[in-house]
Amino acid sequence: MTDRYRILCLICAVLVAAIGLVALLGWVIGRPTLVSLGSGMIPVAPSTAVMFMLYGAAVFIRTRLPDSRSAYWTGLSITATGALVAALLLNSSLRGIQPDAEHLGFTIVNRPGETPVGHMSPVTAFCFLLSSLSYLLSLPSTRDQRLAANLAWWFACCTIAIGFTLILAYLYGTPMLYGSTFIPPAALTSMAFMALGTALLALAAPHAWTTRSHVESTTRASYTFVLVFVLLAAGIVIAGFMYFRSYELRYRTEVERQLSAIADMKVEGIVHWRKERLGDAALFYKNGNFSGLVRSYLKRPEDEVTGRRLRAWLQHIQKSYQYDRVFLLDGIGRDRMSAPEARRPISRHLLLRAAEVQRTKQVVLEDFYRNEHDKRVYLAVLIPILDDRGNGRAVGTLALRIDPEQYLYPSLNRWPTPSKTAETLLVRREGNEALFLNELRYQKNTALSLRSSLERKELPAAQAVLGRKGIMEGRDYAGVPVIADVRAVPGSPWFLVSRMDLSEAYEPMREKLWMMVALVGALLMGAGGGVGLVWRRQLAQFYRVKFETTAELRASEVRYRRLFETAKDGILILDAETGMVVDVNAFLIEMLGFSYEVFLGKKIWELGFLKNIVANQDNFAELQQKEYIRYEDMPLETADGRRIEVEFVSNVYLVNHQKVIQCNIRDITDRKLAEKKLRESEEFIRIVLDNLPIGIAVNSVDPAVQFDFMNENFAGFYRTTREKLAEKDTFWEAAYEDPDFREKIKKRVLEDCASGDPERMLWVDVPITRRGAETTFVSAKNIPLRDKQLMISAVWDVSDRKRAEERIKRMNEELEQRVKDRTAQLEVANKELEAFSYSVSHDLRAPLRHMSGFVELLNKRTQSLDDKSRHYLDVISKAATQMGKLVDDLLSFSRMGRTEMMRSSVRLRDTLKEAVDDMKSEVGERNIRWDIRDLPEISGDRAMLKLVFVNLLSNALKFTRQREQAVIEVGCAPFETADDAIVYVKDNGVGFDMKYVDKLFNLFQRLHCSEEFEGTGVGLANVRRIISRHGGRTWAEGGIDKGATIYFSLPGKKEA
Amino acid sequence: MIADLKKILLVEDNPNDVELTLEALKDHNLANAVEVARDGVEALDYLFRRGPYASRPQGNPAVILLDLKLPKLDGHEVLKQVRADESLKLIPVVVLTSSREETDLVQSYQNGANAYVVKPVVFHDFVNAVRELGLFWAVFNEPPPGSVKTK
Repeated sequence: MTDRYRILCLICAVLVAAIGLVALLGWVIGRPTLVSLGSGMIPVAPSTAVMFMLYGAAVFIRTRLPDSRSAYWTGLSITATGALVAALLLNSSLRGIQPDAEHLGFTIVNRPGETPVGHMSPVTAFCFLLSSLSYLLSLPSTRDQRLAANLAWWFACCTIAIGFTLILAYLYGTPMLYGSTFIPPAALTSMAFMALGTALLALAAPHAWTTRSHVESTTRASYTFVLVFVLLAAGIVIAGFMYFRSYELRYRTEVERQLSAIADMKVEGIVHWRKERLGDAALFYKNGNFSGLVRSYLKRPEDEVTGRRLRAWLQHIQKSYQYDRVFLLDGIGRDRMSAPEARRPISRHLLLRAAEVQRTKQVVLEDFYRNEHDKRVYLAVLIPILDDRGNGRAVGTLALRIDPEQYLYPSLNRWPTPSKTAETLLVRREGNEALFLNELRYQKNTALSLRSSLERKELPAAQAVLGRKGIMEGRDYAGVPVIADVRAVPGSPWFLVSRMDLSEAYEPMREKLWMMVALVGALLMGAGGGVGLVWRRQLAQFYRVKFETTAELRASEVRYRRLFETAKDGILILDAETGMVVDVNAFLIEMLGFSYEVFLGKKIWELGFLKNIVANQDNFAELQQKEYIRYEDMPLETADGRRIEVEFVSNVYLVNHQKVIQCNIRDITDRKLAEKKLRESEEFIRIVLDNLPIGIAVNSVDPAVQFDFMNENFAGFYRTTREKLAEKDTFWEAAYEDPDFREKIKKRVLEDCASGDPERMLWVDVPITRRGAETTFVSAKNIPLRDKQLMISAVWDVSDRKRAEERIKRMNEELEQRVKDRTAQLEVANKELEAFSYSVSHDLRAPLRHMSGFVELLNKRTQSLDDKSRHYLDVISKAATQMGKLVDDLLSFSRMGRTEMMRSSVRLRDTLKEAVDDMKSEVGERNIRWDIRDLPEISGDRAMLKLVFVNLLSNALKFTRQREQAVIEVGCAPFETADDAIVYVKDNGVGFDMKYVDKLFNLFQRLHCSEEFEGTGVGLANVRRIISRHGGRTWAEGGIDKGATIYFSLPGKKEA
Repeated sequence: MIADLKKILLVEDNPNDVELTLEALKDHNLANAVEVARDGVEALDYLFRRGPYASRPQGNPAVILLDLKLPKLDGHEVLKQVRADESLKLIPVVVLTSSREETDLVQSYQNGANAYVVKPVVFHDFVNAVRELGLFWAVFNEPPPGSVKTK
């Protein structure tokens, strides 16, 4: 339910309940008419009010709590009970039974003849029944909700329509059913039903018309709008018609009442007038004085006095009572006196009537007659003058002639209200005819001349004459439709017809009719326009939605078309009924190599290359029947004869109510190949694993150990069998025999595994003990797999290594002891050597010094020695000196082997420079070319390295002594290796024979005789010793007279 | 050149060396001022005026020429005791030895030697060295207070 519907629903529900509450309150405070919206209208019955409150509540809670079971059941029980009550009341109301129980305890007294209040109208009961049905049908149910909701929708519509019509009637001012035998529904009730109907419509609407297709729903909506319009129009027209009818009735009554009143007045006037006339007659009738006077005059007409007195009477009568003419007739009908005096012939009719009167001696009001002399119509009062002597004879007749034109006709013709056509007719019966007595409005000379047959029933005059009394409609003398009041004038032969043209009488009603027609027309146009507007909006909305849907559909179509075209699956679309190929995508065409035309218009079993899948119609029937089919490993042959493996999937589904089969054909040749390769690879891995010299297993440690896989060797390394390890968590007992150790190793392994740290999952040299057998050792490593539940456990035997290690350990221990012993011995030897060196340095030099010293002293002392003796002394002295030098060199060589190395960073270039500077003093005047290249910086003992250069340079100087120009080159060899600096010192001296190159660096080794080149043969030995202590190497190149190059390498070169 | 000769204590066990030394000093008439001690103990006895030297007049030598390799008590020990004594510690000590050993050299300086001279093998050199030592220490150098002079 959308929010819009919900809000509408809630508002309407509250409105309904509020109306019920207000109506009930009216009853509670004892003034129910306060809420009947107008005087003369009936109030809402208490029963109706309560039911509105309940229905409002039912709709409200259902809208507020759509999912609540209790709300559901409450609403259901309220409306179901309501339906029952409504049905009962409808039944009783239609049969005219109004149970007092409906009053709900309120004291309501109904006067007989008036519309009873406090009872539910049958219309109301019917509406409640409709509402209940609508509510119940719109409740969520499992069975065909749409149909139920549609019905609910229609019921709600009906309720609204009824409410609307009733309200319209109220608005027109002619509430329906008033004055009928049925109790009319109250105005508030009608409003409440419109609200209730709207709420129910909103409840039903979301479920009605929901699952229709667009086209259907538009048509349906159109019908609905037409229907709504028809209902509205019917309501408007009916209400308009009713109103008009009622107005007509009221107007007509009014007209009739008016006519009757006028007729009454006229009749009364006429009767009164007649009475007056007869009263006038009474004045003279049986009047002795007058009779005497008349008798005297008739006897003696010449008697002046009498004549004068009588004339005065007559003149008085004529003047005072406005008679047209008064004349006195004698017993034989002669005109004896008249007033006014001028004589006129008397109508024969009157004379006859006078004679009659004299005979009957009764006063007569002579009816209209025509005077044949002046052709005018007159009436007359004929009074017999009785003899005053009481003999019962009549002496004459007094005629009071009345001209109706003077009073009667005008008074008849006078109409109290302005009217164009109204008039009063006076008629009397003459034989079988009605004689018109007065002059008519629309016809001249009618008085006493116009007659109408009584056969003309439509003629009011005829009807009047025939004795009808009251209002009638008919056609008058002029043939015009009239309305007339007809009656007899009491005490006279006359009948009065007060008539009016119908056209005039109904003139205001025609106006009203036109007004009504205009109003209804306007309302119809308004309703039509409103409905049309809503319809248009609905249509616009529909077309917009449709447009959007179409656009979306097209976009979707494009998307899916594209999907279809570019899918990396072959797709074949078949008509599910015929098996005809409807479409085939490019990929399938490419995959199979058959052209589009090969597929199109064929049935699937006719495609030969699909014979493995759908060979015949029976196979196709299977596709048709099963919604989903999947075949794998179907071999197909392509157009170029290639055999491929495919996977075939078929789906059946509906497109636009038409079943299609979509077949997806996927080339799985590559996948199959890959699977084969995988299988081979797995086989390979299995073989490798089983033949590995280590044990491999895949297992879970969580913390129970369960093996998924183990290779051939795995169990063996734990000195158990595959079978014993198969059960869950049997590993520990199977592998470790000693319970204490088992618990220890189990705890450790589980902790390590739980830590998740791969570094910890390596257990080295775990002993596997078996009673009575040699202990073996294994190392194991667990590699947790990514999902953490599984581990790869690797185990390998390390017993051999363990044993070897133990052996090595033993040997090492022995060796260490031996080294210790040797070191001790060596230390002793070293000490001795040191002591020896020390002695040598002191004790060996002392005698030499003494020899040299004392020979010198001897030389000084004996000036007279011969040359030979001097020579001898000289030899002794030189030998001693040589000996001293030897000792010094030897000591320095020995020291070089023993002194601690003071390692530091040494810039060889600087060191060399110092050495060269030291040499310069020895060089003297010699012509020497120093060719000194760049040298690296290395790590070593500075003093020692300087000594190296000193030794090498002094050698070079020494052996180039005979050269005109000595060339001494010091540099870094270009063929240096990665880490070692190779330094060379090259000279152009006498060189050496490469034969003896091996001896060059030996101690005391000399390649020249001492006469030629002095020296002790310690220099190069010292160089070699220093360089080797630095971890370097020394070597030489040279040839006789070709100079010599001494190389040495030093590790740990630093970039210069 | 002969002024107030200052006393030189030569501690040397080898008579040949003593003779050569004295011979060298004699060239510059420095020999008279030389007292010779034949071993370490005797040197200390002399310096502390005890034993045979108990009656020696008061006064320290201007310089001690000290050999390292001595009977009984070697030169290093003698030097240490000299430096340890309040009255002797200011005496200049020149180590005069055949040893070129670095250990000897380092130890001597550590113990407070003022100079370290290696006896040259060649006599001529030896004479020169001793003579210059004698001249420097016994003549040119101004000894610390408490040194005796010979006329």
